[in-house]
Amino acid sequence: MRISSQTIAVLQALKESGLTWSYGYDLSKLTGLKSGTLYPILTRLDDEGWLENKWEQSREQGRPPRHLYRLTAAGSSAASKALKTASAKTRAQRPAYET
Amino acid sequence: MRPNYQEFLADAVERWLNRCMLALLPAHRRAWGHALIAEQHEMANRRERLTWAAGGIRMSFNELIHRIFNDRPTWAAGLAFGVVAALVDLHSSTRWPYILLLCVFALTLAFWQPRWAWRWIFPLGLSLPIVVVVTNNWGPYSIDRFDVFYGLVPSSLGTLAGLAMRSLSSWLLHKPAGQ
Repeated sequence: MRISSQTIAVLQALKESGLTWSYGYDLSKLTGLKSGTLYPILTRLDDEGWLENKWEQSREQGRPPRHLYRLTAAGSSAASKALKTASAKTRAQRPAYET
Repeated sequence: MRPNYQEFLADAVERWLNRCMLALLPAHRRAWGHALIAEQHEMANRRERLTWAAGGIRMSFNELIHRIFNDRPTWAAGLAFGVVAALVDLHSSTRWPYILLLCVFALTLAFWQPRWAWRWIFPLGLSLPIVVVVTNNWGPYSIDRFDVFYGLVPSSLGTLAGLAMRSLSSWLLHKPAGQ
C-alpha cells in the first residue's frame, strides 16, 4: 500500500488513541484532513486489515449510528513501522545545519 | 416566524450531496457512505456540514476512478492491442484489417475481463488517434481528421460480442443437467 503523508497523519492519530475507538469527525479534527481525503484512507486501511471498525448507536434519538475505528494488532505494528520510516525520511531530508 | 431560506437551502443541498454519494458508491462501500453521513449530525456549523458532504462526493469519485483503472494488466493489453491495430491501419490500403483486428481484440478483452467491459473500448478505439498524433503521421486521415475516431465503433461491437460469448459460455458451463 502506498503510504502518503496524509495516511501517516491518520496512522499517527489512530496510534495515539491506542485501544480507544475514534470517530471519523474526531480523526478529521486531529489530522486536519477533510472527509474526502480521510474516508478513502480509512477504507484502504480497512482493506489492508489494519483497521477494525464498529457501529455505535447514537445516544440522541433520531440520529443514525456512528462508525468507530481503531488499529488492529497488525495495523498497529505496520503503523509503527510506517511512522518510523516517515520520521527517518524527514530526518534525512533535513539540512545538516539544522541537526 | 420568518422561514430561514439559507438553512433550508443548505439542508437540501446537503441531502442531495449525500444521496449522490450513496448512489455513486459501489454496494460494498455504501456502509462507509453512511458512516460519513452519520458524522454530519455532530456538526453544528452549516458550512462545515456542507464541506463534509462534498467530501463524500470526492470519496465516491475516488472510488470510481480506482475501480475503472484498477485492472492494470487488461489496460496494458488494451493499449498494446490498440497500438498494433493502429500501426496495421496506417500501413494498410484498406480499413478492413483495422476493423477486424479491433473486433477480435475487443472480443478477447471483454471475454477475458467482462467486469465493466466498456472500459476496454477506450484503449482500443483511441489508440489510433494517439499513434497518429505522437508519430505525426496522419496517413489516409489527413483529409478528414475526425475519421481517426471510427475505431470506437468496431471496439464497441467487439466488446458486445465478447460479453455475449462470455454469457453464453458461462450459461453452457453452469446449465442444469437435462437441458
